Amino acid sequence: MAYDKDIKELVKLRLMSTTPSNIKISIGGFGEFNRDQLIEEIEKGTSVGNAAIRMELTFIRKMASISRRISEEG
Amino acid sequence: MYEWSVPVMNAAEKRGIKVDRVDGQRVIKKEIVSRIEKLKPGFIFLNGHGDSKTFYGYDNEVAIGITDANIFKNKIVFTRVCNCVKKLGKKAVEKHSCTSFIGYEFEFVNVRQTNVELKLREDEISRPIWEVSNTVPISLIKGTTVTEAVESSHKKATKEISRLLFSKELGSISVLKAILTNDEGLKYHGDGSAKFFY
Repeated sequence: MAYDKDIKELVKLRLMSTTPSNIKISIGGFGEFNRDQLIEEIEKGTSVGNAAIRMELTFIRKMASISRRISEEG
Repeated sequence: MYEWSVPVMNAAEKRGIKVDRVDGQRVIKKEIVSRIEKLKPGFIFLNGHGDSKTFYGYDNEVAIGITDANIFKNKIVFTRVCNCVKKLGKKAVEKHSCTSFIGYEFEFVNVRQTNVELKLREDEISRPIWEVSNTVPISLIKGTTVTEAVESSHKKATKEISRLLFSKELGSISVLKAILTNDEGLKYHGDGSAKFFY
């Protein structure tokens, strides 16, 4: 799946602001990536980049329901 | 990944369940199939790499392919294997009478810190990711239904997410996103009311 440029830019900015440089994220069998490597994968439009975008979009999309679940479950 | 399956095996052994581990060089098709045929386990837990049709074993060789789905007949299966539930799980249930097949629809995501050298289970930032996932098999071992086990994992995910949302721990938002993504991908095919009897 190809994401458009605006989505890619949004995800790259969010990765820069929320992902520390001293962690690595492993995405299934693709391997481990730090923040800068993930940004590079997003720019290249690879499967890893797409998985990183899907993670970020899931987070944005689910924020409302997360808040609701948290308040319901105390 | 293997390290985080140890708490599941410990929970089983604590309950007197006989655990048959297949690890390292023994994770090959011949070994897995013969053990399943011989020991007839009621519950199978696969932990490793894969895709929608395949579980890869030692040296990235196919350990269980979609044409082997018949080995899951009358069993409850939990797979911490990327995408496996999509096709392998669906086929096992729909064509080969697998009781229930639980797994992840997407790539399983983990986060670890790199500023210190730590063994997998010593890395506290990744602990909640694995514990949320382990809630499924540990619940089944404790006697819940498949639906209840999956629901327990969702609840544990919500609990960890609510904690991480306001946490100042290293990488907390990245860990939160990993839990959220994994949780969204957690699905099962088959009988939700099934329980693991031993």
